[in-house]
Amino acid sequence: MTTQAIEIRNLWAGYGQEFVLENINIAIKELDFLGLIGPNGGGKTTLLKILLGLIKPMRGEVKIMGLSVSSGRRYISYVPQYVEFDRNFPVRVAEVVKMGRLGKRRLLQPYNAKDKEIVRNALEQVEMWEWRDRPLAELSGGQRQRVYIARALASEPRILLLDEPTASVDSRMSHNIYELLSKLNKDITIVIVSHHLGEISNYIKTIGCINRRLHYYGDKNLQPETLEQIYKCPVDSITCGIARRVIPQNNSRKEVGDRV
Amino acid sequence: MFEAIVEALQFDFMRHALLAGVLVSVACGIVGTFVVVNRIVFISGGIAHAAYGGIGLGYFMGFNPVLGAIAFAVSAGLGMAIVERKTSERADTIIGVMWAIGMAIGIIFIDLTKGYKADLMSYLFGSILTVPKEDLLIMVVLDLIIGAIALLFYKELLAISFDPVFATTRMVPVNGLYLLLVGAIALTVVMVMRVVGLILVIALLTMPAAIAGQFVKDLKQMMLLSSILGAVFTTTGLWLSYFFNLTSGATIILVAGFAYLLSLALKNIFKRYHFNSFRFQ
Repeated sequence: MTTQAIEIRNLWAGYGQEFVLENINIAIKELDFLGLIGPNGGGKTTLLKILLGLIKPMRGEVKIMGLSVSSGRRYISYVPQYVEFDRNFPVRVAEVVKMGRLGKRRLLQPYNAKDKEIVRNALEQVEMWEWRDRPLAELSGGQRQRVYIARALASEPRILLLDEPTASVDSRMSHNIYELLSKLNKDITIVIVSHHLGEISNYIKTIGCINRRLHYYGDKNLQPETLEQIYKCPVDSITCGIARRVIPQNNSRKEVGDRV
Repeated sequence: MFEAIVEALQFDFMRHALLAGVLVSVACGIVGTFVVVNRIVFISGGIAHAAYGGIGLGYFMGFNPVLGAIAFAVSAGLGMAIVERKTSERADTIIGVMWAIGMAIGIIFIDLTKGYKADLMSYLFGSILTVPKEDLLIMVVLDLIIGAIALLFYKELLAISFDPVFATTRMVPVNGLYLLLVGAIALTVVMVMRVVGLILVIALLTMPAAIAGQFVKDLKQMMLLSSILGAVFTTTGLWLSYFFNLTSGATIILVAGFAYLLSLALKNIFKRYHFNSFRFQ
């Protein structure tokens, strides 16, 4: 019997009296590459927060590598969608990546040579080693996203969670990032949250459509007709769950603003 | 001019004042950097004003008002931090309320205290020229404590300032460290109060760090530069106030404020120049 990377059973979650997620059941196999798609406000981010232990489910059970969230989350590292980033925050690339090592170094325990080595490895994997001494503020959106991926890798995770990893990046760079993730997927389970199916469909292995409930979970080659059946509304091929009023492509700034 | 300076340095009060200026600048440089990057200037202002309640209590009960100020500043700071992190109320409103209540408590206690309240004004507007030797010693100790906190918890303080959510997922005790930081702010505020008074505390806490933040690109350099800038401002302000017979606290703040505006202007000129040279290449 293989351990599941993530196992969610009968999960209900929400804020106050309102449920955002209802009766979610997922079993993510190790080394899977899962794309979780769904409309904004459909509960994707809530699910991420539960996996990260930032909020507690109201009902149901979540296991990470067979453990409870509080002990299993050390195997998870995540890449935020869009850090509410103070452009003037004085910090250099290598320092950001080092933060990935925090879980391994307790209070009063300084970073050591091994940490430096791991930071170097992580930065080389995302091809940002030459930028290690640069202030983060001088980087482009795509470069910054790579730095955040390196920071997540520095935690030596078994599972990598990414929230809209290409939301603030142009299409060439997002292709780059997905290529990188495919490579990483050889050793790490990857879960991507997105409301764009089109660009991730070439890279993911399984797909989950989430809009309050998990409407579909399985092989990624689902037909648009299936999707339309699930959502009972017309869905164009690039989105899952959002009706046609979808924000135009390449207008990522606006999407970011709209999410909140 | 030179003789006048040498002559002034004969006085104990002037030497103490200069030393006090440098000592508070170190704490301000370190703590102010965190205040600026965490955007908690408002909490710091609240702490400073709430501390006045402790001063009033000290007068009323007849103990050293500085101790009262420390107690009020620390508890108000922790209270504000908890409100900010834990409740769904509008944090800034509650901080504003605590700010005002602390101040009002101080005023009422002082009303109730009989007799002449000699150096009350010194807490409001500072009295760097009357800093006694014992207070200098307290400042050295506080500097050491604050320096030790910044040094020992640097990696975590950087992480919780930059991205608290990520830090949480890496098992960093984010809330505990935030309270530690607020405690350090409270101690610094009380210390700076001696120099520029509680009304002007935020200025000395934030302006050197804000200037430094425009020119350096990492947190350690920002602390170092803002400590140096603070020392320059207090020393310059002190001499100006000595020669022109002005209130020292206000003079120090105006020197810092002038430098801040100047740095903004310089930065914009530099940016425009940079932009143009980039565009016309």
